[in-house]
Amino acid sequence: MNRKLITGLDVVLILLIIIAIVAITLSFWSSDVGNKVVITVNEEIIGEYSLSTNLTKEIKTEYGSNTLIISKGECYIINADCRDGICVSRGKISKIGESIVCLPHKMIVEIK
Amino acid sequence: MKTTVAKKVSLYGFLTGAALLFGYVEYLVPLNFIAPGVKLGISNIIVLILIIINKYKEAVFINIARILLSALLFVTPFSLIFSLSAGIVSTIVMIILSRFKQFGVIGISAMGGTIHNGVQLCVAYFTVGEGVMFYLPFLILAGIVAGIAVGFLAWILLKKVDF
Repeated sequence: MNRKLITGLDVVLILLIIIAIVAITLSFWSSDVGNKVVITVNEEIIGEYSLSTNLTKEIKTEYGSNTLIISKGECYIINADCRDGICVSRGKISKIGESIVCLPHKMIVEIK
Repeated sequence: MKTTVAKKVSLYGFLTGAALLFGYVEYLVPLNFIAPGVKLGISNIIVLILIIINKYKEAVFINIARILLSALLFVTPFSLIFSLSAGIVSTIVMIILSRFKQFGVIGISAMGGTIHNGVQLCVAYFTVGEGVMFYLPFLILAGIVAGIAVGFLAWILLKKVDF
């Protein structure tokens, strides 16, 4: 094996990817607090709620169920019957563009 | 050394098993705090080594075998479309990059990690929805970091072991 561990071209390549990602992120990023919670299942909007309400809602679909809580301007999933519980460990979201994704239940909760 | 069929079968069987085991070990330590389902991808050490020593066909086949077997053993069938598409595309991109002598092991691997996560994000975009784009910077940066780590580990093995 006569290939080098790292070359100048590698560094250029990695830097280019990082610059591209930073540029894309900056153009999308928003630190504004949102005011709407949009719930999508299988690309279909099934509910929109104001972020300022206090609400506990069980989202039951053919894929499974997730329990969503909106409280004090924050939104989170407290309970889910999927095997990994990634949506629960995602924690609280409140800013525009932030989302909670549950892949097994094809559900997205997004702040708008 | 003469390469017999028996030697090939045992070597590639061993490599598939090793890749599968690596995949299982990292399934036990998920890095979900970065983005859902983020893993180090150490099983790609095997794929990367095969690419560097110009065994392209073997790299693609062993990777597909590993993904199908681990889908059968550890993960849900739904995640198979993610791992299979990302695995195949990133392997092909790494093979193309490895044709150029100017790229080092880390450059090839980092690009592989980036493409892998990029493809997974694209699949998620079409199956789940555009909300997943929030994870773009985290997934791509995680892909670069994991790619560098995998590249470094593969380079150590390439130096120590005569494949």
